Amino acid sequence: MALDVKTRAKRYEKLDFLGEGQFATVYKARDKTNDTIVAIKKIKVGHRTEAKDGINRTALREIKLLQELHHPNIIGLLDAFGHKSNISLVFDFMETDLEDLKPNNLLLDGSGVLKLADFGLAKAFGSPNRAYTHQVVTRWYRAPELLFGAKMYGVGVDMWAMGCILAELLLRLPFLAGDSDLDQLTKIFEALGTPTEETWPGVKSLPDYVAFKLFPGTPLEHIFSAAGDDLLELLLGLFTFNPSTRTTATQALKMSYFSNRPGPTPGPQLPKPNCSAEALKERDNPNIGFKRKIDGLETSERPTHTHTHTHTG
Amino acid sequence: MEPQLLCCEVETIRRAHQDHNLLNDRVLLTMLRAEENYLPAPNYFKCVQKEILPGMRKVVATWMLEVCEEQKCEEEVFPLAMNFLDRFLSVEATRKSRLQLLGAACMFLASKMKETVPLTAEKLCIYTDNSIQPGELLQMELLVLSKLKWDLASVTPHDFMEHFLSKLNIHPSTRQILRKHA
Repeated sequence: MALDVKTRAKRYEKLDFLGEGQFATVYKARDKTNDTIVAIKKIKVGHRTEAKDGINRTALREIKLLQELHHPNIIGLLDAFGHKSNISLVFDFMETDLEDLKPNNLLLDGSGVLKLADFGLAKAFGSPNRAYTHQVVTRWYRAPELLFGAKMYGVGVDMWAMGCILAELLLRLPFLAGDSDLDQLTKIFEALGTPTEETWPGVKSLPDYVAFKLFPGTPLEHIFSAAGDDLLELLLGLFTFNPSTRTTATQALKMSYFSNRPGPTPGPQLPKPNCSAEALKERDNPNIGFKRKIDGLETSERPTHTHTHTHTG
Repeated sequence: MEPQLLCCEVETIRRAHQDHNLLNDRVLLTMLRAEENYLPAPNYFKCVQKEILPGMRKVVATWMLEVCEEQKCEEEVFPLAMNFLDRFLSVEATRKSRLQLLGAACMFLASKMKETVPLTAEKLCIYTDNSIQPGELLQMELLVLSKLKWDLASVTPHDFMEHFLSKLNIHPSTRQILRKHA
């Protein structure tokens, strides 16, 4: 990872503009050294006040985490280079549009393997009392304890976000789309019922707690009318108000939803965005892929290529 | 993303709960293995550096510790900055006139990695009695990143403390005292 941005500019041939977000621009490029297609995420230099403090620290943290994590479901960082206050990250190229835990940060590669992307706000657990940055989790995917200003929180915030993503996959629309922090809480309570000291001990002691109208909530089976009992059980666990009893990743994976039939569609047989069913039939064995129920996971239904916002971390 | 989706930042510094799942031997072994990848060369004064002597490292380290203490930096900042400095000096012959600049850049980076409100370039320059300029600091930051291959995930002795404390059968208040004096 050399210093000189010119050497890099020579190594990577820009092919296409992929998208632009608030914090980064993403290009498709060819790595001339091995003739592979990559995605280059160029972090935007903020306004001058930001540039005077050098390399963007969110990008630094993202690079650190990606270098530490090697996992088939996490996007691979191939290279990083910088010039002045600019910083560019080179990633494996993904079929879906590039990009905290929300559907835009979940990518599919050419073989239908899911990859998590954008670790800009992720922070390693490890040492206790580690200071966290504030702006954690885009609002729609934010756990209620964060919205009530909890100063200590744990992995439960990610499980709440998982619940929101799962709900969005089922509804094909964001489940709890608040337009302010207060509205977010209202949306949550309207759907799930207003929590009380009984359902969430300690809620009234949270720093930003405000009393809400007591919504009764809507039974999940009415909201997700196509979901089976096993899936509703999972959603109910993820949408538990009390963070200390909310379903953990380990508990979730042991739930019957993940073992009940039918099994998931194998990655390569998943339909791709902008890929017609006809083309898929020609490429794959048509007898398997299309007879299987895929539980609302049809990625082709998502307007992945029409919207171009990408990096939001 | 639509800007209205962003949550507002708040003044308070949020902290993670201690995660007991991480205080086990599997994690400890992983950290011990990872630590090896971030060890500086033990012989860099002899094999790499031409001007820099152990005494100069001590002077710059003392200054860095003073800055971190006065700025009330998170505890992990200083050991991490020293690791960056030693790793840099292990691969790059450096003029002694640039040693303080290097120390400042290492603190700059370590603070960005570990703190909610990081040290600013301006502040660090003031601590050198303005002997370095913000522009130089930014250039040095990039040079350090490049020489460290953008790999800032160093494991430092500080990271092992909770593991060792958890293995000691002692009262929580004693643990707090040990933490302070580590």
